Amino acid sequence: MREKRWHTLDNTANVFPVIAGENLTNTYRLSAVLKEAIDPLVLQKAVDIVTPRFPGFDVRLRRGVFWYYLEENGKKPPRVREENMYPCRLIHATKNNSYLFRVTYYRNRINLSVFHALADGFGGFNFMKELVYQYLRLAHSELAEKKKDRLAAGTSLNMEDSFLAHYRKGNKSAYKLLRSFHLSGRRLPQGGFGVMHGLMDVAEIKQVARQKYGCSINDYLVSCMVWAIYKANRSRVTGRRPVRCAVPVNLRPYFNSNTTNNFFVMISAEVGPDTLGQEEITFEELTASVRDQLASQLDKDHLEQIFSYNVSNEKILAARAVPLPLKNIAIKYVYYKNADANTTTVTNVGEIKLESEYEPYVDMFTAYLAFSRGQELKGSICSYKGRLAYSISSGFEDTIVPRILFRQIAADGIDVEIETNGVWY
Amino acid sequence: MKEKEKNRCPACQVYINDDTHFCPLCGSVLEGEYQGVNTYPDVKGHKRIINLTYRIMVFIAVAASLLCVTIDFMRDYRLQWSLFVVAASLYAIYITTMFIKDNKSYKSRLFFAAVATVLFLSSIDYLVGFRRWSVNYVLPVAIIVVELFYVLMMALNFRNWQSYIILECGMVVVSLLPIVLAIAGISSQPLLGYIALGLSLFVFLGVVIIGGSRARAELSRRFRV
Ligand SMILES: [Zn+2]
Ligand SMILES: [Zn+2]
Repeated sequence: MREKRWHTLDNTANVFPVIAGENLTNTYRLSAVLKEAIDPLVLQKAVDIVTPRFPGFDVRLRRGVFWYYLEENGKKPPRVREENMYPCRLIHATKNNSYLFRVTYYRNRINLSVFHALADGFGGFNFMKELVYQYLRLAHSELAEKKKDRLAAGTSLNMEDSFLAHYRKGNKSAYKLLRSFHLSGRRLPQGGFGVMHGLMDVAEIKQVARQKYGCSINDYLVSCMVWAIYKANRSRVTGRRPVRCAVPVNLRPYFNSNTTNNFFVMISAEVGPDTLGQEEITFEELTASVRDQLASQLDKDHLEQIFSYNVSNEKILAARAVPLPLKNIAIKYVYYKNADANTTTVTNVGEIKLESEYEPYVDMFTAYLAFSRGQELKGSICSYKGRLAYSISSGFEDTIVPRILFRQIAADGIDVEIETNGVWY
Repeated sequence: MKEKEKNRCPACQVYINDDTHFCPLCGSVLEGEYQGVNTYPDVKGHKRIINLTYRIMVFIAVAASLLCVTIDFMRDYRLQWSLFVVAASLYAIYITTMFIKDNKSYKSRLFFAAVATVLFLSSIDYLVGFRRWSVNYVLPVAIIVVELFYVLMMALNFRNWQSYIILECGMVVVSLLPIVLAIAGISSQPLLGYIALGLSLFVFLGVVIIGGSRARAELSRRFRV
């Protein structure tokens, strides 16, 4: 028998097992909506075939004396189930055959829930696409004839810790300890998880963003979120606690990496009464400000600075040799101190591209993050074949923020179709 | 706006694809008579049945304990038999909580269940006049049972036998307890204790020696700084 494969958690992932709990599941869900009903047996077969091919997903979480680490799992891949719970529930390290991802289905949709310590959205979709390919090859003999039963060109099995590979020594912290406005309100009963998808045409959004506001699609959609939160809580947002929206940036294009591990940092845009030095702010002004704030943070040096400080800290041996339980206390402390900085998060996983043979079978991809303690409403963006899904995950009983958000988009002349998981009826 | 075959909220100006007559954003009645489709299952009623059973059980245990303590105390202003009920309730609550609510691995569940059982039986022993059967027999037997169970699990879970090394190491330390109790004069029958210690040492050494390089690899993973 060969030696077991194992690897350490990347710099970002170290936080997730420590803070994970029922209220902070650190799970995100990727979904593929096919044009046919899902056959559970075929899906199970696809999971069984694909899982062992991805060393980054065929793992379980182990607790060392000083660090968590991921070790080859090798058990039977997780069992496929019909979706019958709220999305993004905690993935326990001791259940689910110890796998850190879960596959469920409902009608035409395949759901992949991933514990964030495994991979970010890029790594998740890297796996998701292969799962869909495999499923379609098994379900359609005409596809199996055209495409060989192996991983597609462009799928990455690279698991380097790109933070470690690209950090610069001796950097000062780029994070400032900030405070922000936090949403409040009645929660959905029984730990309910609300999700609302706004489906739109990419071309329409692009036109509005470019021509009306002179910004990118991403700037525009982030602005809509900030605007909705600001407008819904105008009297309660103060200069000391502005609405601040975190925006994860995929670092792979900047550093020429194709790792499937986490490789992103957070930048942010904020709006408060002091932002423009005027009492009233229009959506146009807000969008211009968000655009400029995001653009000013999107250069390689700045992005590098953000993660270099963390990585440098992690390299200090004295800190490394602290036993895990004590380290966990420190990580929790730092996490909660920083968690106050953002009102919400809007993440854009970008455009999902499939190989052309498979495209006719797939209707849409969606993605969303679990909302978390302190950020009980988040937005996620994902597009496929000219359609874009703006998905809001929320723990609130009211829908004030999504209402203002989607009304703004509709008022700009974009057709919006809404789908929800039914918790608000 | 072009006409779509979808229901539309006149207030929000958005289309609603769900099977509903109301807008999820604002509650307005929708325009259009199209049949929507729900793309998510209804999970509202699905949750928390286990939770309710669990709470009822905790309530019964707590209520029974309080009632028994009260009756016991009223009779002669001393607590006697009711303490058994309290110990049994605590034990039952702990075991159920661990198996229903916790997400510990089977290895640690077994270990903590054994600890709880030993503590429970020791308290019974103590309440009936401490004839030392708990420390003489229950403790070492519990160690032997846990140890044998781990050996069995290692054999069944052959792929992952390495992950038990740390546990076996810990069991050696735990097995020292009956010996310490014998030396301190708390227990009076050290024989079973020696058997338990011998078994633990034997299993630990066996795993390390037979395991060879893979056992050492596991230890180095676990202790990586
Ligand atoms: Zn076909
Ligand atoms: Zn409406």
